[in-house]
Amino acid sequence: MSTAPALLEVRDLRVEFHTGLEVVHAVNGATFSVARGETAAVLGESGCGKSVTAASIMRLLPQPPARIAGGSIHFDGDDVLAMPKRRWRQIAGRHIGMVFQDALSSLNPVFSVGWQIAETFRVHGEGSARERRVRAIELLDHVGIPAAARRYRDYPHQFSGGMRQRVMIAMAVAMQPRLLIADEPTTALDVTIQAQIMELLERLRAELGMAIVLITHDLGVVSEAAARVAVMYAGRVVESGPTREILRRPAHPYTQALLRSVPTGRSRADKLRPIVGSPPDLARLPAGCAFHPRCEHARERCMQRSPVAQACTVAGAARTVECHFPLEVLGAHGG
Amino acid sequence: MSAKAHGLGGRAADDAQIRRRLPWWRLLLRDRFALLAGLWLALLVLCVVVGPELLGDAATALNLRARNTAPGSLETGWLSVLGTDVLGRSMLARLVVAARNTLLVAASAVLIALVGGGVLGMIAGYAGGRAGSLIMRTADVLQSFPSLLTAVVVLYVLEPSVANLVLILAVTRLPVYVRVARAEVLEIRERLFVQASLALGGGRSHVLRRHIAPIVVPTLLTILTVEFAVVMLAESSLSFLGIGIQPPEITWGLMVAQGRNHLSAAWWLSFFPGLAIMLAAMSANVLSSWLRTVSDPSQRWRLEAPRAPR
Repeated sequence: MSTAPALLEVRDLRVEFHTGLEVVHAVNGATFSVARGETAAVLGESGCGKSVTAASIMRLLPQPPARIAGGSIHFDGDDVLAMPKRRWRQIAGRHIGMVFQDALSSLNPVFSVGWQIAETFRVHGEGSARERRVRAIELLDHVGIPAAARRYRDYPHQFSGGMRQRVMIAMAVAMQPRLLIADEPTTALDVTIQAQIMELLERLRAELGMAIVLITHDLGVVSEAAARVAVMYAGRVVESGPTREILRRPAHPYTQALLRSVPTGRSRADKLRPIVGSPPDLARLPAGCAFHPRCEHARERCMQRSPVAQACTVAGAARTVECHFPLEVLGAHGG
Repeated sequence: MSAKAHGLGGRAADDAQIRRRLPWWRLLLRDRFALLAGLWLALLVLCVVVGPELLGDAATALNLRARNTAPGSLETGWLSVLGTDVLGRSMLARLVVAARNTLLVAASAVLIALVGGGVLGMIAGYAGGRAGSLIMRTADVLQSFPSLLTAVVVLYVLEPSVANLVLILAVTRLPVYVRVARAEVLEIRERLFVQASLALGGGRSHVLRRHIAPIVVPTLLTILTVEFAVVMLAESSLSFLGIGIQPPEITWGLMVAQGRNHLSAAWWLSFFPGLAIMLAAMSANVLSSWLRTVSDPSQRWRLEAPRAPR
């Protein structure tokens, strides 16, 4: 954790979905923080609760069926979950922007992209219609849409996937937010386009001095873009700290297993080791550590007591790990 | 950015600009059926505006010597080209004059139903909860009575004035719009762009007005054109029963009803007003489906694409 007060602080967040038959514990006490101007990643497989966490931060969860069962989210010192609707609308879009995975469906098909960007200004009561138009064109140009003035009147379906994501990013950063939440921003795109979008996000981050929360399952994207990472499993952040250190020396068996299951340029296919078993049923979490059924280091204690987050310092870098035997895991990775 | 992406983006932009240069009336000229429908409706609007002033006298002038003249004869002047009725009045003149009552009553009834039903349906779909259930149950009740029966009862109790007629026609046709609008909203509100708009600071009413309504309205307009004919016929039934438009005022529906007694002797008495109703409804339908295509950004190219040589 950095010593400066964090811009976004998620503490022990718990989100449940009540389906009538059972209660699905999508997030079970996620804790992480994002400092001003930094890129932090939330990494995890599908169903680990990372998108639900993002939706909670943006107050987008439909309640019911969802219910925030505990914890807090603070943005710049203000409690997001407790603040009145009116105050939240001053923050959403203006101070916090959001980019979604599927840019085609997150743009309204019946309006031109320029209209939709100008609409963001209108929502926040910015400028006259003419000014909004000019600023929207500038913004389109700024996010790298060629011939922006001409494309202002084009509709989402007339753009390629990468261009659509640029439009979406333009809308999200229109008000120059201090925090951008990017929920799988590159997942639906080709690898070459992915790199361009990440480059754009990085450029905007530097220019606007905004922080980015990068929600992703892609280790490659994390290692390229994020200064810090929080690894999520079964609704909990199991390990968090500086990206380089964590990817080099994972102290949680899940992080370790995740790294081994991803092909790198050098490794051969037969050296890949998928994680055995499947993610736990979030309605029936196992007792003890949620990862123990798939963990090769699991012992008696792991099945009975869930580990608490402990701060530890590995090679001079502070990190937080939720494991009973982190040092043993570290040793196993080294050898 | 790579050169490839630039090339693709540039070409798409050029295409878009060519597409944009075609204004709506050029597109109308290219679609034969829509053009005919448009011309016919324009003619009807002309009749509505100036018809009674132009042919009002001719429509009421009796000529007992020329009763039930068959259409096609010009003996009693060009006005009897569509024949004359049982009192020798010109069918053509009467059709033109009746256009105003018929179309104004039908148009205002369907418009009121569209606006009222659309707003209620969208609220029911978007807000849900108790207000939504209340709206839907009321619509159920309205729909569970035969609409003609409701109209008859209400018009017997109230004065059979034009305003009451329009209102009752609108209210009995309301549930159709309520249901369709609600169903559409239920689907659209789950789409990601609604979430995106909320995330960018738009409130719920903003989302409903600026993002959901523009998608629902074209569907409602399509229903409106179908309902147009239904309402014209309902009005004629009520007029036939003597609780709708009161003679000497005339509507096409009333003319159909009055001609029914003479069908075997003079078929044209009912045929031409019936034809007028059908053509008006059909034109409205064709034009609205053309309008829907034009206003849908992802469909518009169908009209703009050059025709394949035959």
